[in-house]
Amino acid sequence: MKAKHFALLTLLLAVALLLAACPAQPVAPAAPAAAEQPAAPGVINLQLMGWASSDAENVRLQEVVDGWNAANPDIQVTLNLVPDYDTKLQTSLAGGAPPDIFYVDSFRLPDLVAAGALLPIGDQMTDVDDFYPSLREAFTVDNVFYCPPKDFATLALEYNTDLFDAAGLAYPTADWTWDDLRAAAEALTDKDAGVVGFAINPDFARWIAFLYQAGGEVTTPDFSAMTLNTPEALTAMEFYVGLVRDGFAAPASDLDSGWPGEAFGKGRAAMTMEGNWIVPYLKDQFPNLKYGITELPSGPAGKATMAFTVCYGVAANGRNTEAATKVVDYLTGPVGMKAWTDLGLAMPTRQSLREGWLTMYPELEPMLSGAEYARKWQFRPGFADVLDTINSGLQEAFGGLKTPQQVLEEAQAVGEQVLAR
Amino acid sequence: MAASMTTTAPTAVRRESRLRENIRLVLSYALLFLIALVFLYPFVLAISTSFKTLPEINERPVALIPQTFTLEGYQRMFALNVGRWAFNSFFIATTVTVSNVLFSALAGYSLTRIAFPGSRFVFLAIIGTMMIPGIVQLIPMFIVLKTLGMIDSYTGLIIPKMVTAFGIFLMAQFFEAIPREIEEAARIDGAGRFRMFFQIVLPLARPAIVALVIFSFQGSWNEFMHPLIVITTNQDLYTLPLGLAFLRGGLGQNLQWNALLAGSMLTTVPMATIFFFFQRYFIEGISYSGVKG
Repeated sequence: MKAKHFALLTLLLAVALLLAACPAQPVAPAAPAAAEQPAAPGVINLQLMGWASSDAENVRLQEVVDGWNAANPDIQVTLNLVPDYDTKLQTSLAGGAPPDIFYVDSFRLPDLVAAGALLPIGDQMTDVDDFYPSLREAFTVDNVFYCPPKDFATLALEYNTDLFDAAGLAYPTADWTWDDLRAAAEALTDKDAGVVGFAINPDFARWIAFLYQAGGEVTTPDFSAMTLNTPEALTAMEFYVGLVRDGFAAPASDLDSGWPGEAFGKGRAAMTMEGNWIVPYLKDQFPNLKYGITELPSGPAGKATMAFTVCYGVAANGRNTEAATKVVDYLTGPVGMKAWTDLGLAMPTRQSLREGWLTMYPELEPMLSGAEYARKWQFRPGFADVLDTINSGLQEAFGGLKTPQQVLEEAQAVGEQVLAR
Repeated sequence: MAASMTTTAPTAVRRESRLRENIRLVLSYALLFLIALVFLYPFVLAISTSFKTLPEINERPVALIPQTFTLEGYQRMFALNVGRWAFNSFFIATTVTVSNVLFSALAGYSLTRIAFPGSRFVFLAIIGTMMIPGIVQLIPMFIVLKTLGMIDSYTGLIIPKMVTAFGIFLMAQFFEAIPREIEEAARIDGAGRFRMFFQIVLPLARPAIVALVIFSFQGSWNEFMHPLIVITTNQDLYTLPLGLAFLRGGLGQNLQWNALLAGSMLTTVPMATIFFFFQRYFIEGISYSGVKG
């Protein structure tokens, strides 16, 4: 009885398998990659690969691409936003089937250039000089401008206006110095209420702004030597760590938060230093928070901020690089760039669009102005080891386990090994 | 009086021991309740968070019941074609499981029961592939599938997963333990190879089959890397794990937790339901084999 049942079940399974296998067969030719669609005569199909962002951004980018497709029947672009972008890009590059156009983070650029994956198209763009020099620089390796920046974000100082009012302090301005920042952070810290003046993480990507403000550098311009073990770097490290050691600043984890923006949103920190991404975050998750934005304070050597930017790269071994270059020129050109950045979430990389954008988003002026003096977030291939060393070093310095000098010496040593590779 | 004395003394003792037993029972239940709470709390919190608004998710202390109940997260998931992704996940997991059981059983049987030259070597070679980590297969897998034109298709998602070395190993181990005499008896009764396999050996291997069904269904349902490299452009072919990763996207800090958790619920609940259902069979299968063995 049981055996019979089982034979029947097995038979059913076998039939199910056949049925299941059948639809799989005809589906295969019906769902080929968009890039491999049998092209109608004269029509070039291109794939633009990026990572998914917020809904608003995904939709807007699709609209910009649709605008191109409608105006250019001979070059049709498919927008492909994918999960786990880095793995995906690496697999397709290694597999010899890269997308025609893809996002390149300025931090990843040296690796991709070293791998020969990118076609240098920067100089073929319309009015190249219109791009902010600091952003052009972020996609230039050995004097070759590889790809035009699609948008960018800079670090700025966000401050909670309610907490400033309660403490009777004047709001921060672009003229602030380190001393002003420190004095305000001290005045705003309220141990009993669990509020600190400033939320900062043990994060190289934030501390580095202070390094540049102090006149320090990570390496020499030609990457031949590390320059972290210098008096300037020590000044920056002592200031940054000192804020935390003295109790005027704290990392997000000490403020029951996942990142400084969250601590700021919750009112556990009166100030923080984040980029444009904090704006939609605060609007969505902390709609009642009252805050302002200003430029980062000046250090002993003046102003500095960090620019985080992404470009449209064209694959070096793509089949239709000429068409792809034209599409990139449209997307980063005055028309495509305006359509994309008018959304207000990312900032235009063209100086000619500055005024128009600012009339729509005047409150973001400090972030856009950062482009004038921003530094690029980019090092040599393999520099992740230095990042890790500084991040964990900062963490230990926050906890008082290491002195700023020790952290810098270690980072210097690791960096020298990386540069010697 | 004397009589009542003799009766009350043992009653008191009995009462006392019953009381002690009750206390022990209450204490152990309290402990079990606490442990259950520790395991269930994150799950309940995830369900409740999937119904909260974004500002409320950040509120502290965390409320277990949403103050403003919203379907925002679920709406966002459904706007993303989650139905199609769920179908894909289910279709692929079912197909892969059925074929994996069938082929693993056939291969396991022939490798342990049919003597042919080199059978030991073939078996060891198959087992040997289990030592190759999945991550180094990614790029070769992509190149092979691309050459065969299987990128962006169900075939590419299913065929490479239709039989696994682990499945063959599991089935072979089980067949090894079934006494040969049973088959010999069947052969004397005139049963052929396939009749013997399907009617005698396979039913006996039910516990192994149930285990393999669970392993491969769950493995396929949760699989992320394989669909990630096979599906390059066609979002209609995403599975649920890919869809969830897509939702996380490049948002970084501005994660929409309610949508992400709504998606996680849609991914977890069917699986959990199936498991509750299968659990009984799983245990049943083990006890069956015990009786028969």
